[in-house]
Amino acid sequence: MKKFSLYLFAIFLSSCVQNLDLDQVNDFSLEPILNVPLVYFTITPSQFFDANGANPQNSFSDVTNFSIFEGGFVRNNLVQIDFNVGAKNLFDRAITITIEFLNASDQITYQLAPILVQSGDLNYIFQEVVMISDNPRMLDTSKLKVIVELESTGNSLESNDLSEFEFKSSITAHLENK
Amino acid sequence: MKLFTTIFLSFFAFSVGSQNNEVLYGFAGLPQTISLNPGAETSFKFHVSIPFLSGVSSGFGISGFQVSDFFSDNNIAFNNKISMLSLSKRDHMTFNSKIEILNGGFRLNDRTYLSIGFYNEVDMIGYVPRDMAILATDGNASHLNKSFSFSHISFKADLLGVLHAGITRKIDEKLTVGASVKIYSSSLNAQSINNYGSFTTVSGENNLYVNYFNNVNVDLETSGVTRSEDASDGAFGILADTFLSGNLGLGLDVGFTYHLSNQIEVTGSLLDVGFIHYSKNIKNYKVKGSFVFEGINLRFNEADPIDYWAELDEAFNEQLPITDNTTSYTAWRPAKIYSSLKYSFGEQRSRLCYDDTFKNYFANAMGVQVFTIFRPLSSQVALTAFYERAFAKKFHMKITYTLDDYSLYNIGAGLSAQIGPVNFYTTVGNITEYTNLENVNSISFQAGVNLIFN
Repeated sequence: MKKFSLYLFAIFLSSCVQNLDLDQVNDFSLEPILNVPLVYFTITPSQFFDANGANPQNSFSDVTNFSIFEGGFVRNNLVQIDFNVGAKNLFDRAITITIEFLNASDQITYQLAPILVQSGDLNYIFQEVVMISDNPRMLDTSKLKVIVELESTGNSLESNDLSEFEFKSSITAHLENK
Repeated sequence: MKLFTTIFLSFFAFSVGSQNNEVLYGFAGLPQTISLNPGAETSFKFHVSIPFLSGVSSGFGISGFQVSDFFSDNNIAFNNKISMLSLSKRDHMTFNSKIEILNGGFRLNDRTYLSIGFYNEVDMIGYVPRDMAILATDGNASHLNKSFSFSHISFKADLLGVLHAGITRKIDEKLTVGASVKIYSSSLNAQSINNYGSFTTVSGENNLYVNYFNNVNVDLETSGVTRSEDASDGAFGILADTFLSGNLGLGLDVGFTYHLSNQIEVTGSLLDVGFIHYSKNIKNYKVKGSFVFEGINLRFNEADPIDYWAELDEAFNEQLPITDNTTSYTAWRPAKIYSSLKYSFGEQRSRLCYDDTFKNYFANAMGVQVFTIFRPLSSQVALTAFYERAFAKKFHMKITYTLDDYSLYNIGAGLSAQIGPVNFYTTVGNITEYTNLENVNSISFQAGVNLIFN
């Protein structure tokens, strides 16, 4: 019995883990890339007029809160964000979409390049890549402002025209958690 | 002292284990075999345990991967090693450890043996949350149209004390039956089982993408994890609750031994058919509902601005609420089934029994055992072939070869020796892998000291 006990103890002592590098766990990182839908809208010419179909205007805008950077995980681990846009323009003139990222004081933290969608373009695609390291103020964003602006052609817009402008967007967030 | 040191060093070195005690089952008529089969035959008048030393069992099991898959020094990036693993949702890790605090028994009459005991147990199983792991490491961008299933989240963990009292009754020369009643006292429990629902991202109609949370139901039930202010503090309080002051439950073990002939014996047992009702220090969380997110639909109503984010937040909280509660709950213990067919042969010997008669036995035995444990996602089955030899009246050895979820070549060994009334036993599972731990899927270890009186 004594011998057996010693044998067992010898096995336990000789139990070994060879050729392992446990420090590799320090190299582990989560690097998810997430697709999240952003804003979308469809507009018609009537929206450039008042309720009576009069007083045409050249542009209008909307603002939404945008709190995804307030979460600690996203804020601390976001390294890159891609803005993806798809649009279809059936208007008889070009439309420019401007997207501004604002902080709580309505100051611009980042602004995408103007998105110019020509008349009749049914398959417009736009992408802008923002590296957070180059644009750290982006993380202070708490609002998103979208401005829609008609091209000035000299011809007046018909308020009862049923042509549509469709706008779709998403963000691709590249996170890296080490 | 050396023995004491050896056992305790071993316990702490191998404080992990699977639930299958394939070596100990039916081995050498030890008192501990009664805990695996209340209908096991014994030949002693009474036994008492040495507190904390009568039974220590530990082990772990991993299916689907090995430690070396992650930590081999082979110049492959750690993240790549993870992505190279092809894990299924059935792959899991188990951990089980038991330590007997008290164990004793005595023979009431020629046919009846009574036993009583108390042990502490830690039991955990966690399935690989494969889809959630993919979502966390890859994200959804490269997995459009894939349904990430929340059913992959499944785990149970328990720390409990078990008070058991049993009776083994010899019906006739062929049949012995037994039963044991258990009172469970759990101080810590956490479980998330029977979850369902999915998260999917697809190309959208109104927007570029749509995120679907479809029919999600994810529960996390805990007891003792968040402790009330009046609960005993720290580890002592948690341990104290395992001594019948925790969440109580009731269970039953039954078993039998039947001799088909002088040399062939069939045994079977059904263990831990029971439940625990958790009502103390409860904190549960629940996510339930469906939600479709396709972005923010701007309406450009400058005269009456809309708070889109508040709308979104309200819709999310209404349709996919995350709630918590302190509602008590009941959980089943993981029931287990053992069965065996044993053929004894070789030299015939005799040993002194409790009634001062001599009972003949064979020096050799071989056979097969089947073990089944019912786990959250599916039952786990192990098939064991064994050979047992009695070198002397009180010196027994058993060798096992087991096929299970963890290994196709698990060789175990056990030894039982008795000097006077002092019995020492030890068993080791997967013994050939102890020098190769980086590639091992399971190991187990049991040891104990009893005082046995004939």
